[in-house]
Amino acid sequence: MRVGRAAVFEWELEGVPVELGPHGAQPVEPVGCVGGPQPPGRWNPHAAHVETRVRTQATAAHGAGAGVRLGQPPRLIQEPRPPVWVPGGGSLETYDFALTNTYNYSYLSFYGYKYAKSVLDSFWRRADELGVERNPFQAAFAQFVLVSETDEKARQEYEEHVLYFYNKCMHINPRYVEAPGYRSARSTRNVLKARLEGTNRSGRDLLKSGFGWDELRAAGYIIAGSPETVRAELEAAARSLNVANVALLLQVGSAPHELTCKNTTLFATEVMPALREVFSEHDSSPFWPVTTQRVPQ
Amino acid sequence: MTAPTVTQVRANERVDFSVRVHGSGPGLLYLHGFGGLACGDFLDLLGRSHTVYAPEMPGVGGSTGLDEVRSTWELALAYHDLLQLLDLPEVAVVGHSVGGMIAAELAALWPSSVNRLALVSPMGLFVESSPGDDPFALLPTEWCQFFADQDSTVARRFADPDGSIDERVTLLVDRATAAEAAAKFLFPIPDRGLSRRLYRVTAPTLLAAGGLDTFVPAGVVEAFRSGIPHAQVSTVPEAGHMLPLEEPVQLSKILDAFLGSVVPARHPAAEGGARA
Repeated sequence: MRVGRAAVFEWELEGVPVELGPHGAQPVEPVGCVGGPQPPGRWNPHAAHVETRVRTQATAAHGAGAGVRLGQPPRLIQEPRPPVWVPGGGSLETYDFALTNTYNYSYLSFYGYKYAKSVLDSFWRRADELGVERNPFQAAFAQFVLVSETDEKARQEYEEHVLYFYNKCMHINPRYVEAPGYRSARSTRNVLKARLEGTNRSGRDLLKSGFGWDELRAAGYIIAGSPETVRAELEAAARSLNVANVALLLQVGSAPHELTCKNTTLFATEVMPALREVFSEHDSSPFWPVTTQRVPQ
Repeated sequence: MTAPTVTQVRANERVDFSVRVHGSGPGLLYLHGFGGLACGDFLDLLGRSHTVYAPEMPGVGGSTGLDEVRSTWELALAYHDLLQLLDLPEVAVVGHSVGGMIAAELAALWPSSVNRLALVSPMGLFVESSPGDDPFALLPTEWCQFFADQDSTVARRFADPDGSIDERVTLLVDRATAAEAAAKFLFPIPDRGLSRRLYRVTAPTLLAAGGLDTFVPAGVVEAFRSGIPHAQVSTVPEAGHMLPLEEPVQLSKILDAFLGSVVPARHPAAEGGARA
């Protein structure tokens, strides 16, 4: 299993900073989304943005979104091309985009691995339909992970900060998510059907039902406890999703610097080493830069 | 009443229209607004005196090509191509909301193709002193705000349709795609230069407005009236933006009276100088 820093995907390749992120087509940039998704086969702003950044031509596509097209798609100069990670929120077209281009598909929410399951299960079913191998390194999920000496101490140390995050910091205006044209008709149909059938309650709705520490743990929003507890649950989570990349969220809400350092250190020393061999039978090379694949001794 | 038929028309190499046909009589082109063609009995009421051709906007329902239509000009061109293929060289055009903007574009760009123009709560003009509410800031669950009486059954059903799950999904997807199609030509500022072309409209024109419409407020209606030669205004005081759904009977009577009235001479200045 690979563990990466959450929130910022930034790697250094031969001195060229490669920033991979949803800059061009984020829901918070609805202007870029008006006009609808681009049809298959057309230059895709996700990749174009990444590739443009690889060429260090940062200004050309920055913030352009789907509403602006360049005359010619930028071309990659690195060989082999660096891995590309594509964040997605369950749109069917993004599954296909990642799978057919051998890109990583990252479902990055604050709602944890159980909530991620419906999206990632759908991703793997689509992989089967397209005849793509279920390589766990082709997907990622985000997860709050909070480690302390014991389960009870984890609660004592982190509960206040976790509740601060979920109660105070999650006020994202839903208009950013539902801007007209952000989802294709096909994906809108898919999401609406699941919602009306009751098989897909939004993470926001679940939070409204009054989640506390126990509920957040039970629902998988957070994985918290002693190193043993976290190791077991994180491995089970990864295996249940068939996902080998965890975008770790080690700082939560109002947690201070010292506590975050403690969490990071405990994770790195007590949890991460035990998980290195999980999914080691799979090839990570299409989805990780070659230079980062050396495991430090 | 005869059930509507649906026909598919490839207008040009970019756009395929799904066209619903209601009623019988002289041809009439109806261009829908927010919500697509799900406007209750309104089209049947119009169809009592006209053969109503109601295409869905590109990207909505069975119509395709939204990605390929790059400008308001190309959008209007697709509708004009459609009129030729439907063998409607000169026709009455009724447009609601974003459909009103398209109708006005058609009448301005090809004055001789439109013999009557009825704009129902039309969008497409931006008046700084009277900007109106932003329709794209509404969540789908807030679409009842298009209606004057947001608690009415028709308003609540617009945001939360009844029926089977598949029927509800289809209606909501149609509404979402209609909003997307409208956004392409109205967002963020609903001004693609229509005000600079309105002088070319020669057709007798009716503006039908809801007195409580906060999306097309009185200032916008007045801008249309002053921009189109000899336009007349008919206001339904208690209605909001969704006149075809809120007041279908009253609106159809207003339109019947306008469409069936003696055709006055086209605006002389435009007649002489603005033939396409």
